[in-house]
Order: sequence, then C-alpha cells, then structure tokens
Amino acid sequence: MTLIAGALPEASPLGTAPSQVPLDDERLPLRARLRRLARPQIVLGASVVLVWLLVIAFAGLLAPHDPFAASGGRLLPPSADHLFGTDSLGRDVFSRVLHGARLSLPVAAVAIVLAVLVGSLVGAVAGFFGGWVDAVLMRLADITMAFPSILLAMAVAAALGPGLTNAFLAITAVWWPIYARLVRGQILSIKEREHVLAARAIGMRRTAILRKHVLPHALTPVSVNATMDLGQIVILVASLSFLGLGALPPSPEWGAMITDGAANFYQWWIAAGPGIAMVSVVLAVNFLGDGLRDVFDVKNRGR
Amino acid sequence: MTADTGALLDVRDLSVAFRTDRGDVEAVSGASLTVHPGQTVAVVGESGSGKSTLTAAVNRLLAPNGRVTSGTVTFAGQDLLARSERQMNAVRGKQIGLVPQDPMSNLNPLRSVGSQIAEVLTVHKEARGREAKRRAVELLERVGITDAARRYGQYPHEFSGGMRQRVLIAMGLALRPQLLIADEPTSALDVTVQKRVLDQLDELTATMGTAVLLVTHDLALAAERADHVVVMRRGRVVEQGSVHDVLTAPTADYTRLLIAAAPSLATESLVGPAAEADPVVEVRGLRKEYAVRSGALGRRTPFTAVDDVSFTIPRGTTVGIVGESGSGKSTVAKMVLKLEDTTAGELLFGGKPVTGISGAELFAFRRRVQPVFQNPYAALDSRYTVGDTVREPLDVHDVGTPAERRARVAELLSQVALDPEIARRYPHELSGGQRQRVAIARALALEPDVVVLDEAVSALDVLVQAQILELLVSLQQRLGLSYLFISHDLAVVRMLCHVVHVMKAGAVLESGSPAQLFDQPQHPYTQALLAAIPVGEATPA
Repeated sequence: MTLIAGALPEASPLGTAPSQVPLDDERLPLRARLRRLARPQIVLGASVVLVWLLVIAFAGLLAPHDPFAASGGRLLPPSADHLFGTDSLGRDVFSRVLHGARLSLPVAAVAIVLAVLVGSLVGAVAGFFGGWVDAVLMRLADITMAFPSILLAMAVAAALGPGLTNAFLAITAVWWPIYARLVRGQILSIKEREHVLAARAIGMRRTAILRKHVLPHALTPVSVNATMDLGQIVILVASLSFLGLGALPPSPEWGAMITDGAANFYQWWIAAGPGIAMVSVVLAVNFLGDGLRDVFDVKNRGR
Repeated sequence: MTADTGALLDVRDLSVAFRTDRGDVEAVSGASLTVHPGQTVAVVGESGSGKSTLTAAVNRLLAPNGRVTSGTVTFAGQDLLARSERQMNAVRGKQIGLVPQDPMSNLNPLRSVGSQIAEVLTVHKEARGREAKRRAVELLERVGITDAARRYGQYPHEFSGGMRQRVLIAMGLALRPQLLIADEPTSALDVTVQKRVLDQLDELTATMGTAVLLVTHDLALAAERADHVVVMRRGRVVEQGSVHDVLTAPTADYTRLLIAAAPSLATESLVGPAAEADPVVEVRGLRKEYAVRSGALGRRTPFTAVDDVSFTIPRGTTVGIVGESGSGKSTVAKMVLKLEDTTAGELLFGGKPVTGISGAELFAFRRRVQPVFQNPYAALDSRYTVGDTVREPLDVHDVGTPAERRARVAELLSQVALDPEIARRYPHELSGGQRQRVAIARALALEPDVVVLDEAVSALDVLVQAQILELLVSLQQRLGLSYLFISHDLAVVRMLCHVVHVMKAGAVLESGSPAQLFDQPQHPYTQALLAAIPVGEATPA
C-alpha cells in the first residue's frame, strides 16, 4: 500500500545498527553464528539432548540388564547393581529407562515433525491464498484448539485404538493448529515484503513464490517453537501411555512404566526412574528452545 | 583545545564502541562539539555516520552493548559520564529533554496522550494530580494542538503522525530543559507537516531559551534551522562551524560533495525536454477502492485510495507522480504493475487494453513492465545470492541457455556499474546503494519497456542517491526506457522527470512539466508543498 514518505532506514536509529541480531534469516559468517549460540542455556540443553541421543543409539550396550527379563529380586530398591531398582516383575528399571528412550523420544520427535509439516502446510496455504480458503482452514484450527489437548488426544487415540503409531497420529491431530497459526501469521507479513512483490512482477507462479521466497523466511520461528514444544509432546506421549492409550506393556515406554509405578506406590523408584528421565529431557529442550528464542528474537507463539 | 567555559554542553574527543558478533565496532571516534545556551546546533551525516550514537552517548542512553571508550561530556559544568544512573535520571527530562525519532513507536498506545505528558511532570515531582493535568493541557496548546482539553484524554492512535510528534515535543519540553536533543524529529513526516512541526519547535525553544541539538540527515533542513552545523562521517566530525561558513565555504571535501549532491529546487534537471513520442502506457480514469472494516460490527465500507487518475507515459520519457503519504501514489504504481486489481478505469499498454488480462497475456505483460521498490533492504531475498536474484526473471521466462543466462547476469551487473564478481555475494554483504543497483539489474533482466520506480531512491543517502539518479538517466538514454517515477521528494522529481503529476487524497491535482509546475505552481497544494521544502538558507533570527 502507500509507503510512508521519508520513513527510511535513515530514520532507523543508528545506535542499534551494529548491535541487533538479524531477526530471521540474515546470513552471517559461520563462526559468528556459532558464537551467538554459545549461551549457557543452549550449551546445557544441547549437551543433555546429545546424551539422550547417544542413549538412543547405544541403549543395548549401555543397559546393564535385559529390559524385558527379570534380573534379580522383585521390587528391589536402588543399589549399585540396579541404579533405579527393580519393578514388580524383577526387571531392572534403569535398563528399561534407557531402552524406553528409544520409544518415547523418537515418537515425540516424529509427532512434532508431523505436526509442523501439517500445520505449516495449512498455515502457508491459508496465509498465502487468503479468502475463503483461509477462513475455512483457520476456523478448523480454532475448533481443534478449543479442546484441551490431552482430552482431544485421548479421544483420537481411543478411536484409533492403543499403540504408539496411533499415539503420534493423535498428537499430530491436536498439535497442528499451533503451527498453522504461527506460519499463517508469518506468511501474512512476509508476502507483503518487496522481494515478494518483485517476484510477482516477474510473473513467477504463486506456488513457486510461496516455496522459494515466502516459506523459507517463516521457518526460523517454526523451528524454535518446535524445539520448545518437544518437551510438552514427550509428556503428552507419556500421558497417553500412562492412561493405556499409547504403548502397551511390556513395552518400556516411560509413561507405561509410570503406570507400573502407580500400582506399587511404596516402591517409589519404579515411577521415579522414568520420571527423572522425562524431567531431564523436558528441561533440556525447554532450555534449548528458550535460548534459541532469545538468539533469534522470536516473539510470536502462535497461541 | 581547553573546555569552553561558557558552553552549556561540551563534548570532547568522545569515542563510542559497540560490542558485536564481529568484534568491537567504533561508531564515534574522537568527536567534539559545543552547544551554547539558546543555540541550535545541527549534527548532519549519512546513515552510519554516528550522529545518533553521539547524541545517545550525551544522554547516556546507548544500547546495552555500547560504551564510551574515551572523551568527556560536560553539561552545565557537570561531568555526565561520571554520574550514576540514578543521578542521570534527574538530568534526563529535567535538564536535557529528548524528542525521539519515530512518533509511531514512542508513545504508549494503551495510555492517553495527556497522561503521558503529565507523567513527565509527576516523575520529576514538578506537579501532581490536577496541577499536572492543567500543565499538560497547557503544553498541548503550546505545541499547537487545538481543543487540547478534549485531546488530553485521547489515545495515540487518534492522533496523526504530525500530532504525535508534537506530543513528543511537548514531553521533551515539559520541564523547560536547558537542552533539547531532537533526533531526526521530522524524518518520518511529510514535508508540509515537517515544516509546521519545526516552526512550532523553533518558536517554543526561542521563547523558552532552550538550546537544541538537532540530529538530521538533511543538510538543507539543518541549514535552515540551525545556527551551527557539525558534519559527521564514519564516526568522525569532518567539519563544523556556523551555518553560513559551512555552506558557503566548506573546508572538507566531504562537505563539498554533500552540498553538491543534495537535490534542491535549484538543482539542474538531469534530463532534457521530452521528445514527442507515442504513449507506451495510457491510464484512463483509474480508480481503486478498498473495503475497510469499521465500527464494532466490522462492517465493510469502501475507502477510495485512487480516484479517477489519468495520465500517459510517452516512450522514452520519465513521468513523475509526487504526493505525501496516503496520496495513493504507490497504489497507482501497483496498479500499473498489475500487482493490484483496479476497481474501475482502463490501463492500456502499447495501445492495447491490459486491464483484465490474465494467464499467458499477463505473463507476457510482466516482461514489459518491471518494478524497483523503495527499501533496498527488503527488495532482495536475503537467502539468495545476487546472481540468483538477477537470474531469476530469466529462469522464470526461460530465456536462453544456462550459459547465456550467466553471461547475461554479468552483463546486467556491469550495466548498473557493479563488478560482475558481486554475483556470488549475499545481499547483507552489500551497501544500500549496491542493493538498489542489484534491484535495478533484476528489473532490467527481461529488457522491459517500462520501469516503475516506487520511491526507488528515497531510502538512500544523498551521495548514493545522486549516483543512482545518474545511473537511471544514462540507462534511459542507452536502452530507451520509460519510467514511472513515484516519489515524495519534489527536488528529485524535478531533476529526473519530463512530466509531473501532483497527487493528494487519491486524485491528481495538477500536472505539467517540471518547469511549469515548480516555477509557476497553480494549485494551492502544490504551492504549499514547494514552500515547505527546506531551501538551505538560514532564516534571519
């Protein structure tokens, strides 16, 4: 629309020019970019995440016992041999926690990736094309978000039947509107930028403009938010399993293990083992996400 | 030099550095200036010259990563750099007032305008309650806001840009400070509004005896408003002296360049008279309405942005449209580019109607008409190299083989006087002027007949602007281009255009050659526009 005459870069305060971190996608030299990431929050979060990635890769080698077979007595308290004790069937809780990471974390990661893909696609189409497409898609998103996420996820999981595959489908169904909104908001502002107008003036197809010149600029806030949401998704996966709608026994999924713990209330270690694991993961990704958000100055949370 | 004892503000050898990802950057190096009581001193420079940083350092309002590395700031006998933050708070507002740059973001949108002025008084314990309100209303009246008692309770969004800036001036002067720092106080305002706001500021500071430190990029404005000019470049003061001395006998080469490059209404036109030629673009009765939601129910009411605009662009000429913000000039540009639908009216290209075309016809039209936009920072996609950006139109229209396209990119870049090597770089590695050259190269890639320049030089510093204007003229002569030149800057329009149309509130008020329009303006609005341009002569005090 009409430009404000004279509201120029000249009019932007110089003092901030050398100091501000580029908002989304300015390319910086690699070393400068890495230095920006060297914050205690990010380093701590990333280290813990790295440890868990190693656990996922080498759970079989790291676990001292078989996670599915009894290894010693039942309901033994934590000791040197059984770091987190044993459960009601005599299985080593520590080994089960390590193996459980292979289930809980990839499921959460796949769920968030699916939610981001579906949500970004919906948001991009709604924001870029506007009109009735936008109205329909966004009302759908509003309706989905009106339900408490755990309730809706339970309903979907119950309808699809228990199992980890259905759990992450349920989570995707609950989580996509957050990304749809976030991406739509980004697209609405990006599509008015001059480089997008220039691409339109060249005669580029709208889908090509969306793919080449609009979507890539919306990805930074999406990836920051996805990192932050990963923690909540880990909890949601475990919650579904805890309620019997996700992984089923004897699977060492953390939520399912906590269910075991609930049955043996005085053997606190059965629930504490997976609980501690979950707390460490959720804290780490929250630190990481918070740090990334500060670095990239992402404000929009989508809801 | 020893400290000037009669000075109100004495800045000596001040250096300021910012800590950044790329190491320390010195923004101000060894700058000195003095302001005497009641004097207006203008700090003039391009973007990045350190002028805003210098004044921010005086007030100790540098960004957190900035620090003074050497030098002294003495204000009314006190060493400001040695004061604690708490002591500074007593100085700020009370002894040194500040008028910030952007009237849009410097008022709290959630509080009434009046209460924000009254707050200045209560914070410094000058007045409370009803007394503070009475004085705030009085201040609003003094900055020229009519019906101040009612306006007191209104919110910033109910005020225009010029009125908001007046409110900021009222806040800056609320406690009758000895010194007022005004950082580009009118850069975001239209030229007629700018004149009224600056007149008001002059009058107020003269009656209060306030000294003013005026930061501006506009040399003519500085010359008109200040007693003393300080010219800065790359963090250094290159020249300072009385307005008369600096303008008539500049000693620094840079000042001379700046004076020569600054477009004024006396600058020679860069183009000759228009030759007779067939119209390449004809616009007849163009109209654009937007649906605007209003009221609690969000009922849509039409808003007319462009109303019955007609003009032609003869081949090989430059047609200018001047107007202030909201005049509809950019909407006209977008309609000519067919980036915006027309509500009514006809658009002819090469004699053929193109108003309702789509598909292949529209695709073919795109090759013939290309844009260059205002903001060199937003016009290029930061994720692609210069080469990719310039090659993109060729890719989209499938022009030539990959090798030919590469050669064409190199040719285009040299056409806009850039080293073809630049093709491998990313936009953030380039200066504003270089980016705008790349945008021009992209616009030329498809060998268009018409280039729509929407405020294409407005964001550039004056020296760069002069170079780009020359480039545009030489490209027109070599390639036979026709330009539609949209601008708010009458001096630039006068230099570049063969025919000029003056727009206001969506309608063309007056048209003619620059000579007719600028020497004998007929319409009162054109006369007012011309009168508002700073002419670079000090008004006798």
